[in-house]
Amino acid sequence: MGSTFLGLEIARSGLVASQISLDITGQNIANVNTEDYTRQSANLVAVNYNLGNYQVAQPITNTIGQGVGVKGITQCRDAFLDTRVRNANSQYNTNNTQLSGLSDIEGILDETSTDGLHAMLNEFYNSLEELSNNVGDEEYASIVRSSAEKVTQVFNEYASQLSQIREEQLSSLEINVDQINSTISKINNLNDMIKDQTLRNNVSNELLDSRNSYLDDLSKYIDISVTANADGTVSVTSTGGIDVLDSTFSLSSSGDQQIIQRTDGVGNVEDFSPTDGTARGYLDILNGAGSYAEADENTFRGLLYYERALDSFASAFAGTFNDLNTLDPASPADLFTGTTAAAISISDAWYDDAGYLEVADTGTNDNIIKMINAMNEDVDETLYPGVSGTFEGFARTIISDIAVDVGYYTDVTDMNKSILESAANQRESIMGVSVDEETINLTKYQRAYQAAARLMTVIDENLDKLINSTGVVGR
Amino acid sequence: MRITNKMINTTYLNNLNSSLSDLTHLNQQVSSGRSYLKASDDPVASLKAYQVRQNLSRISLYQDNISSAQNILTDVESSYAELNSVLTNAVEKIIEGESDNSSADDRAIIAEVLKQYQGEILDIANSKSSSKYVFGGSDMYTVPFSVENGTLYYHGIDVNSDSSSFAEETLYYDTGLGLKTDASGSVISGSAFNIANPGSSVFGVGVDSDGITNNIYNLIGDIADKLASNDLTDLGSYVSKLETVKDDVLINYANIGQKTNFLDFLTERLSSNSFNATKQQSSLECVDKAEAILSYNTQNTAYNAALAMGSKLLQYSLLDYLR
Repeated sequence: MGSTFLGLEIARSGLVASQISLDITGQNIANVNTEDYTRQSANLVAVNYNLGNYQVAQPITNTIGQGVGVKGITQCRDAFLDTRVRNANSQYNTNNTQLSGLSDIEGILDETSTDGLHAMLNEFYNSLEELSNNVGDEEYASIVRSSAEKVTQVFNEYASQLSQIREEQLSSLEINVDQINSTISKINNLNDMIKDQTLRNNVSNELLDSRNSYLDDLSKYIDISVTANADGTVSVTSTGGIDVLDSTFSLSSSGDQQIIQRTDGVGNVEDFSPTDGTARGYLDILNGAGSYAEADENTFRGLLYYERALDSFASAFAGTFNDLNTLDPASPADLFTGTTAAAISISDAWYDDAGYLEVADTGTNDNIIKMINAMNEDVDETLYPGVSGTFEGFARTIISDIAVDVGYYTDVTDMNKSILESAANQRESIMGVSVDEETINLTKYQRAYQAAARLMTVIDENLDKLINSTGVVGR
Repeated sequence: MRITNKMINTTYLNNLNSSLSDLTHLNQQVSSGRSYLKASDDPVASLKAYQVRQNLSRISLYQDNISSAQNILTDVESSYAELNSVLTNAVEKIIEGESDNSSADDRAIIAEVLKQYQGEILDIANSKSSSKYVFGGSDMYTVPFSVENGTLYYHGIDVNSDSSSFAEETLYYDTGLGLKTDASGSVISGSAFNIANPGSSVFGVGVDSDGITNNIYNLIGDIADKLASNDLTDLGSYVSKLETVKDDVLINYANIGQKTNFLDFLTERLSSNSFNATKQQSSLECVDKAEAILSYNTQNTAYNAALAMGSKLLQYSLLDYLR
């Protein structure tokens, strides 16, 4: 025999459940466009019949449940998809950072619509040819000098623009490291708050959303792997298994290499080299020496690669022509001074006198012919390591290296972007708010509320009948 | 798959962006006329294009070199023509002087005329083609021939000196024959065009076994001296020597024609190379206008369609239909 008022209680629980569900629907609709908001739903359970603690066997036939209960408010979120999105985000940001650095370099070196090193070398070659046909005419010697000066100026300009990019990339990396640190401290704060609430069994979903959003941010900078702990906190590890949340990162340098250092909670310092993320991208651009990398150096073709290539180039160019102009090894007659792209310039002696250029050795114009030949022949790699092919050919190699890399990283970035988009889309399909769905929910819970209210009316009428109209016979 | 409103918005925005970026790219292609704007758009084509640019620049350089060689040769040719006519006149006069009909006075006058011819020959020997002395050999910027105290010097050396005192002179123009040098750094002949016309070989140096000068200027001078002094001994051998020298001039004259022909051949070959390279350059660097405009219009239509669809797609939800 059930309790007289059980029906009323069931109706009340239905009203409450519908009310809460309606509120949650409202919260979902209100946050339909909120970034990082996770769709919530009430966890409804049917309340079972309370058998109590009867010690004696008693046949019970009408074990009707006792209404509905709200067990909690859950987030519709899939941790596996979070991992996928974060991995894709790290990968995409690595390539995107590399691409933007490389595009900057390409902007300097590319000669598709401007004249650069290749064009200037070509002009220098032409001026040598002109001189060889007009030996003895001072005017042509000075044309050679001015086109040689242009070559050196292009070298200087490239060097200064590359160092400007280096500075920009370095300051971006600094900002990046600051952002990593501040994101870590935010996650730590949230971890603490969530831990407190977990103890009180009272976790706010909005705090979880906020922490997830910072974890997404962090995955942009470095590669991370997130593990949930029983106390509600999360642990974050990165390359080399380091505990990210117990780290402070800082920037340091050794020679021309930039290094990210990690200081742990007790003050130990170690080098940290993430495998992915924007930090990786900046490190690649700054430290990448390509084929010029020495042992343990970064082999990405970044700034160092182009700086070293141009330095080798400038040194080979200056050396070759200085040697050719020196007819008597006892008295060197250098046309160029400086052996780096930044420092190369035409020598003072040549600057003062265009005729300092030795036109002839034993014949009439044979020395100029030798110089022309030096432009047509491959550079001696034993003398000038790091330079291959002819001078003009090497200029083309540099341009095509950067072009191929930018082309490749554009494709890879596009590909990773679509991987990221598809992962984010999948995650959004679980956690996102659908207005259609919420509208249906609105209707659903409204109907449920109405029905529960009706149930209450029915039971009320029944009780009214029982109390006020029953047993009044003979009154 | 569950679809949410935000997914529709994001996907739509992404697609719209990529469509717009394609449109921008095509727009740049059409407006710039270039098939790529940065080397990274098409690394292979750009690398080839740089090579073609170098090729084209070299070809135009060779064409310049050939045309200046041709200018010099034309002037050399006309100098030979003048020289030949002077020599013809001289031979006529000498035969006149040699004849028994001429008196000592006549011969003295003829000698004067020959001296004048000598002057003309010197003028020809020092003739210039736009600031270059055509018979200067490898040094075309200093006067090759000079006369001091009746002695003719070629670049400071008496022309009657032994021929071994005159170095072989070359001045190479790079005409695209694949300029090469040997180990010592001197040009391998045949890999470049030798433009030098050394006055020493054109006008002759040294003396022959009979002690008669090989030099045209000196020869005429010697004959004039003999006529002036009315001394006809040996004159015959001098005159026949002059005939030989005159024949040599004609042979050299003909050789110049050969050289000019060779240059004409090179010019033709280079202009066909240049045509091919230009064609290659345009196929690498230039966009096919018709195709680009067509793709632009197609893309434009697609973009407009996406916009039109978006305005419909984004406005509706179930809310619009429920009351």
